Amino acid sequence: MAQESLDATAMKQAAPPRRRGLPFNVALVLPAQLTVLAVVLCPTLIVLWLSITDWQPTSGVTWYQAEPVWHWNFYDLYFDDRFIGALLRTILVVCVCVALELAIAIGLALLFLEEWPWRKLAVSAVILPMMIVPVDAANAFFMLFNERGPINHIISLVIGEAFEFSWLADPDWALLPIMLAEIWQWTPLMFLLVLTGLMNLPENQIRAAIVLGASPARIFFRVMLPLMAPVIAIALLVRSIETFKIFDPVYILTRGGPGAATETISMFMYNGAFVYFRMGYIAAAGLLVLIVVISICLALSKPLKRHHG
Amino acid sequence: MSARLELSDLHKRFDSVEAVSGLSLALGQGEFLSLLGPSGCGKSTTLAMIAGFLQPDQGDIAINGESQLRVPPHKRRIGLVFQDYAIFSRLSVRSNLAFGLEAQGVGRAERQRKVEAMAEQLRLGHLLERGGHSLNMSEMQAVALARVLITEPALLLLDEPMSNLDATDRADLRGELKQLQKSLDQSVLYVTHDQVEAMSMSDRIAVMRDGHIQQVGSPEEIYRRPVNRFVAEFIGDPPINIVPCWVKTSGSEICVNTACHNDLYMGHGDLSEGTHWLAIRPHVFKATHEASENSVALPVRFIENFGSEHVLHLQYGEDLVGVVVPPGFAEGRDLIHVSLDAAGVHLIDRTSEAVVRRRAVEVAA
Repeated sequence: MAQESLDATAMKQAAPPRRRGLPFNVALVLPAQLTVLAVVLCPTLIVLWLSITDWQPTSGVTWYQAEPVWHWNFYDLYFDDRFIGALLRTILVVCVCVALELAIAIGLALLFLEEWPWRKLAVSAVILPMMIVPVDAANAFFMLFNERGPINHIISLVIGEAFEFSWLADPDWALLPIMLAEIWQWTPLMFLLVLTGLMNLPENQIRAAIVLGASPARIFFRVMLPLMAPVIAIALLVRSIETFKIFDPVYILTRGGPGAATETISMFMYNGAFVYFRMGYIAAAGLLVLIVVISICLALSKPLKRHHG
Repeated sequence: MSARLELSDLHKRFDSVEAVSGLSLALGQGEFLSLLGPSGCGKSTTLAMIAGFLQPDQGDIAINGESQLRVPPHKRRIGLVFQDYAIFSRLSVRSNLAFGLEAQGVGRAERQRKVEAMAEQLRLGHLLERGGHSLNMSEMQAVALARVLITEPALLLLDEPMSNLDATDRADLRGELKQLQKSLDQSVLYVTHDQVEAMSMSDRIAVMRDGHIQQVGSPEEIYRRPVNRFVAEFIGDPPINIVPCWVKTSGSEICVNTACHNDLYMGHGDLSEGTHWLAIRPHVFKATHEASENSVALPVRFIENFGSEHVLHLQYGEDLVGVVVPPGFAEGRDLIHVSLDAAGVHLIDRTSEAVVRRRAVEVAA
């Protein structure tokens, strides 16, 4: 009995001293977590609140005292042709740009797969557009597609008569320079992703296909492309999300005009928030767009899940 | 239709390394020939040149007498099984098998029939609808083999096809592969570093080292009459014993002493007096419990148990030698009496490392 209690005392003494304050690991991550909370959660909550009010900074009411209008912002958005138009236009821009970027990137990457002189230098040259500040790139395209710019000049030379066309002022054509600017600037990123994927393909599968007598096209479509599916899915995902938020070329080239003919969703929200000051309404639009983007992500990440399943 | 293959004076250099130098080799129709050597000996480079992925710096590769140097890989009528099998992982097993036929433009019905027949022959029927990525190693191996055999290649090249398999699978497969090769009368070039595979399946073996062929011959020949120390050491399991010996000559007659055995008469040969090497297979030592006329008592250092036989490691001068004995032979003994018959040993020239061929009548072992 006495022995037992003695052991118990010994154990108590041997136990480590109780910690004061936060555990070390919690203390380490807490500042980062608090920062993330501040910059992500707070704005999200504010947007959630604003989306059910009709707050306008010019109305003289502070944002937290704004009058709630509940679901009416969303109801209005549903019938807002300009919003729906911007949304559909953005989806069109995403589809066209990302598809063309992928096609060009795969073509380029196949060219760069084999070793040739100056290859490394050429890769650097190809990815150069990506390094340029987007606003500058957009300005370059603004200059190119100017009424008296080089594009019209070249067309004149080709067709042999004076050609003057205001690309950026024509509602039917103004989207084209915007998409070209986007494709020109961001194909390099796609190219890098695809090239990395191609270079990491199992070489022996391709050799096996060669020995079995497959044509280059068959090797590409039956062996290489299926192996590339995960890489291509990631490339599509990254570029779709980025392109959905397209802003710089739209702002620089047309500001969404003429009229609202080139207004993409970020341009719509910029105009709504900082030209018309309809903060509550735009907060609601922002939430809807978030839902659309998340749906795109989920749809495109399906092949990735299947790959690992 | 199986083909002949002739390699003549092949050379291939990578930067400063001569991967293959002066390799000449002929593979007969329907022959199973193994290219055996340690990793880095140039055997895979040789294979890549035959397949057409590498262009030799010099020399010629001929199939049925026609040079293949200007022929692209897919026109060489070669079946190639890779070490990693290179199964098209995103295609089903059925599509894997049909791939070569599709590429050759074989019609759908014919393709179907051949795939079924091949799957039956290699017992792959239950795998046909599986995805290439879901196979285990031995399944991949079988699919890889079926995928090339279905195209009826003139020459089958196998690049270490068993190095990824379990020991039991390997043993099964050796027999199956040999039977299949015989029944198809298929010319096979088998690249391996595993002497057991080479010995058990080949009609002939070409032993390679540092880009050179050391010896070409039947498994029996390679085992019984190695031409140099490298071949002697590379072939045989348990490995051959190499011990120093002291050569005395009178005329062309050679007599050697080892650390423990004296006056071994080696017949006639051409060798300088002095220290050389003696290569002795572990089966050649005769181990007994009682001393006899020629035996010496050697202390037992340790015993390796292989089940059907034990290998005693005995102190032999400054070296350890392995001696094969039946199980239980050395139970509880410190000393074993060992005699040595000169007929079964190989005398190796110390400077050239070549086995000195004896001109005397070979004494029956």
